[in-house]
Amino acid sequence: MFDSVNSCVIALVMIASLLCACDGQLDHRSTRDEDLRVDMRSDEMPPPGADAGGELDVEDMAPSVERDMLSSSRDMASTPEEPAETHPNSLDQDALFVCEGIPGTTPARIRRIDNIEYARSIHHDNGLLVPFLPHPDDRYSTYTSNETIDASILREFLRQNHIPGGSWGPPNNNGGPRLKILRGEGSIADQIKCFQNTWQGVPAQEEPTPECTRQFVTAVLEHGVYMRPPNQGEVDRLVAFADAQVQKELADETIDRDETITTIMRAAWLTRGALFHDELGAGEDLGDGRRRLDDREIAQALSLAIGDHVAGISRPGYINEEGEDNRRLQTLHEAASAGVLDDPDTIEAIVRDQMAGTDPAAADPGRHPSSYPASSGAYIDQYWMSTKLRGFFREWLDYADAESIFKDTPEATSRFDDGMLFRSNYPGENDSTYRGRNRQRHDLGFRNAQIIAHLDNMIARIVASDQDVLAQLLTSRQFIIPPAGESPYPGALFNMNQLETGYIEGLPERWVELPTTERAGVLTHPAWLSAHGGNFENDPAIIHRGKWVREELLCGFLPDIPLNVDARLDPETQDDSARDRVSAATEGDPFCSSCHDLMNPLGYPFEIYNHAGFVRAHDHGAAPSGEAVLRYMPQDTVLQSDMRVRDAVDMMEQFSRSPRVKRCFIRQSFRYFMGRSETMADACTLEQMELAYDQSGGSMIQMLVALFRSDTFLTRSYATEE
Amino acid sequence: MFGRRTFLRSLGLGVGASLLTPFMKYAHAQSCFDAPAAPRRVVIVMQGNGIEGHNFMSAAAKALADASPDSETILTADDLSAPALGALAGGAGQLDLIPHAAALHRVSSKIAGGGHTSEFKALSCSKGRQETFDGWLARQLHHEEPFDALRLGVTQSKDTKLQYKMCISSTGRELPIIANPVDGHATLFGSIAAGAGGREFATQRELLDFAHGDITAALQTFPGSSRERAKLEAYLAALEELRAQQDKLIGVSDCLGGLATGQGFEPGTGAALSHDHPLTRLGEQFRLATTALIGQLTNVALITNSVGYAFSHTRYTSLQHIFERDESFSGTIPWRHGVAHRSDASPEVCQQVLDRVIEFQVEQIAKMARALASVPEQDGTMLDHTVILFMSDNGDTHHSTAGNWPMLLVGGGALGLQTGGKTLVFPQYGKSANPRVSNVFNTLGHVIGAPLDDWGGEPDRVERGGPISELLT
Repeated sequence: MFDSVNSCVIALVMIASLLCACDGQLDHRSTRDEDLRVDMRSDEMPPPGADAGGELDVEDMAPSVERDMLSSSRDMASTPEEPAETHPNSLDQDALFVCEGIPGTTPARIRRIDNIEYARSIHHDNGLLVPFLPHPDDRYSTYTSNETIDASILREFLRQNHIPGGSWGPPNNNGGPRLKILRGEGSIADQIKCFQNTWQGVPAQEEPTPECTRQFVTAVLEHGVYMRPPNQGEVDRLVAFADAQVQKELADETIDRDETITTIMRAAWLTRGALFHDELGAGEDLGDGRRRLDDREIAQALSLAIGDHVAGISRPGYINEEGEDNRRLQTLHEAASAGVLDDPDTIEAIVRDQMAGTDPAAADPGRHPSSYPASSGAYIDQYWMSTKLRGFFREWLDYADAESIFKDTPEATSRFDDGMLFRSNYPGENDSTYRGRNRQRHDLGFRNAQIIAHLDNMIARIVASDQDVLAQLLTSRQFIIPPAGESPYPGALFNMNQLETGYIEGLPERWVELPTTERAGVLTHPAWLSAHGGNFENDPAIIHRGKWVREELLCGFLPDIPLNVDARLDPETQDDSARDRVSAATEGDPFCSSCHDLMNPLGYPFEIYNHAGFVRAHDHGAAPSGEAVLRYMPQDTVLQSDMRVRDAVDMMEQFSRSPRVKRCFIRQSFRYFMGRSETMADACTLEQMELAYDQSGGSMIQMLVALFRSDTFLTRSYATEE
Repeated sequence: MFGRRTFLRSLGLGVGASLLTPFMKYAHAQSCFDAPAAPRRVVIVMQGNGIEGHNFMSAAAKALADASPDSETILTADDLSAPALGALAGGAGQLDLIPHAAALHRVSSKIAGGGHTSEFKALSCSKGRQETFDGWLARQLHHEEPFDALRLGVTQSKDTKLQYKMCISSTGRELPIIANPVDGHATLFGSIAAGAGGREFATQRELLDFAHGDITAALQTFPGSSRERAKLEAYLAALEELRAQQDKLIGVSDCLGGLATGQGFEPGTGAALSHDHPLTRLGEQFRLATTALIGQLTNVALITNSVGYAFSHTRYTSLQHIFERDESFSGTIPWRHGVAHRSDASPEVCQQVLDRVIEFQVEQIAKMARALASVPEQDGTMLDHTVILFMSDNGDTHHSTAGNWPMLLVGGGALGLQTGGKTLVFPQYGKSANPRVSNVFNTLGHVIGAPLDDWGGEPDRVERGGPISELLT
């Protein structure tokens, strides 16, 4: 099912391909119309898989409920496993929001942990070296379909998973943070101390009794790795491994108990239960090919939709103050233990409490899952949002790399483009020091500009207020500017000369309302503009920005760039404006313009900014212009084909009222928080999300609550395979 | 067939000293695995942020190019006496590598992009995240060796362990570059390391075995779909692959020990390789790669010098003596970006620094080539069966438009690579005979016996595909 605009796109590209073929230029190994025909077969199903049967050891099943599922799945009628991988933007958006009674569900799946979750789970903030990175083909990092562990990942993981043991070592360990769940009388510490070193640095039991080893291993798996009770097979295997490690220790005086425990923890983190989370549907069989997630699965799925670890991992620290939670997301963990997560109100209460807020106490590091150390970027001034909510915005808007995209002369074409920007901000410097400092700051690019955190801040403020969220995102003039000492671009990046305004250092003064002619919302923030800008001010950011708007804000479909296109601007035009360069390269030839008409007009409005997000003061001898006629626009009460916009500010103001844009925002949220693309079978859930958003006055939290309470989130479908 | 292992075994069986004498230079060389019947190896050395053309441009070639700037045909000069290539020349008992080398100019790769860096596109020659050439080579040339490819490099920090964004596997995964020689050393010699290093290797084996048991048990009862099951099966295969690799290394422990010692490495630890200067660490990575090739531990090596955006913040601290030629030098070595802009020191000094970086790598290539040339293999030497390609990740300048990627080729004579001490200046970009970087890779494909005519995603690869015939004998 395709909407009219996308069909138009496809037709144009097919025509263009044919034109090209007539010129004999097309690579005859692959034609775009062939590719598109493949893309258009939305009703395709994957080939049936192989029989997953074989000899079963029912005592070894993990978790035990899988036994029921296995037998049940063999009895079920065949159901489709996964829809074909049609690009979701090619679906008819209007139809996607009309519920026709199809019960929502999601294919049963397992989810490989990612590098951040691993780092959080072992209480180590630097997860970047662990190569559990998202698959590049996935739109969002939360997608699960392609995630596994190959040899290159495993090789690096083996080298680097040395950290876990320390926290589970003796009380005087030095290999990891102290864990609150291991502190205090009657704690888990009592269950494991027989296996640890004593304060004197010798093992409490040189050769632990079988009971001691089993007790230790069980505690490690349940409270340090899985956050659920391990099954018999999981415990038996790790006990056998632990016994062997103790024997090695006894035979080698250079191995101490700390190292033994580290090795046991490393082994635990290589298991299936540690590296792959279940979302298989271990709860009630609904009798129609669907099973509900059980409470543990719900807690896990919900915690990974809120934060970047499963509920129940220990908080680090020495002291367990009265009334203080020992675990992160303890409420969710306890609700799962108590078996009350089938209550929708419980889910809503937890989500409301954990997703975003303004309460500084709630955002206190150590109390709230969103409040990791400032280095993680999660702690956001007085406004906070959960790490996954922040992750959604960073990935949807795609600004997380904004500071690493190199900018030559960031201030080019702005009113600060006089070679004096840095000196004017540091008036005490003289010419002899100017060059070195200038270049040093110049070379820093945006690495120290903190623009990512400042866009995080801006968004957190909006979602914390949780009213009319999308419109606020697209039109807010409330920006937070960096303090002078934090950035080489204290105010200039926001077109403010702090020599004129005076330095603005503190909060709330750094929250400023920018002129209505200059900025409107997140797509006019320097972080977004920079992330979608190039190295130079006249690079083809027009195309990148326009493509993003078409695909991610309008949920429009664009085919991949044809193989026979050399997508380069003419180097001979490098002194021209970006608008002139892009226009000359892409709009004279029908073959090029058939696609670029869908992108360029949506990028031109941003030409009032340069590649780094500075407001342009001039543009290669002319006044900056963001004027554009938006072609091939989807139709709704606001959007019209060939609609004219003055600039990005005007465009954002109009888009903020568009039902089409709102639904696209809901779809993007669905994708990220479900970890998969939407299909036509998700219509009832999407409709509920929109209803919740509309009826709550534009509450994003309420929209997400509708998702988390839906059958799409809470049930799993599964198939019998021949 | 007279393989290297056979030859070395024969030495151990009492071949007289008179036979040994001519080969004393390579008597320490040990091949730990049999080379395939048709040995073929490729080494790619990659400089981040450009190799300027004058480094490889001989006077004779420049004269030809200047005389015919719009030439539609290849200009060939029998002259390789370019400024950065001095180390290739013979003398003082050193093998003259000039006859084994060739310089290429005006090879383009617009599809890769240029700019500051083309990142993985430099090796994939495509717009999307397609397999990079090192990955393809690894698939072609991997036989019994423990490593299908070695990717070794440096960035500014000696603490950086891995670098991504340069190499992509055939399945779309990013392949890491080992970014410091200490980890490179552990990769090659961990199985024979003494003390903690050796114990770590043994522990990893136990961990792999344990995890294998766990995943095997999990698969026996896994109730999910075949698609989900495949995730666990892929993990199981990875466990088995690493276990097999370790078995191979353990099986040749004595040989590895001799290899390490013979090449001047402490087998127990690589700590001595942790130098402060990036270029010094780069030299160690060259040594490790050379050792791996001689030991037949791999047939493919990628050696990188601050590639990708790591170029920007690299400080050539070992070249302080050059910076000091600038009277205004403050004592702080500037980053490469400022040097490449000729702004953070005098333009003359910046140029000298940039040139020295290239010259240094040519010196390392020459050392590698001579080490390989000292090891007999079949009717020639290892160098004859090894191609070394030196290129950049973006072209010829700091802000490259990707129209010229100066390259240096060394070795590969027995494989059919034609070098002969020539400098080839191709018709510039826009001319019909202008070759692409993908054509160079196609050429290497032919050289290693896997004819390759359409590397990358070139839009007109059918018309412009195939190898560069002038580089094939």
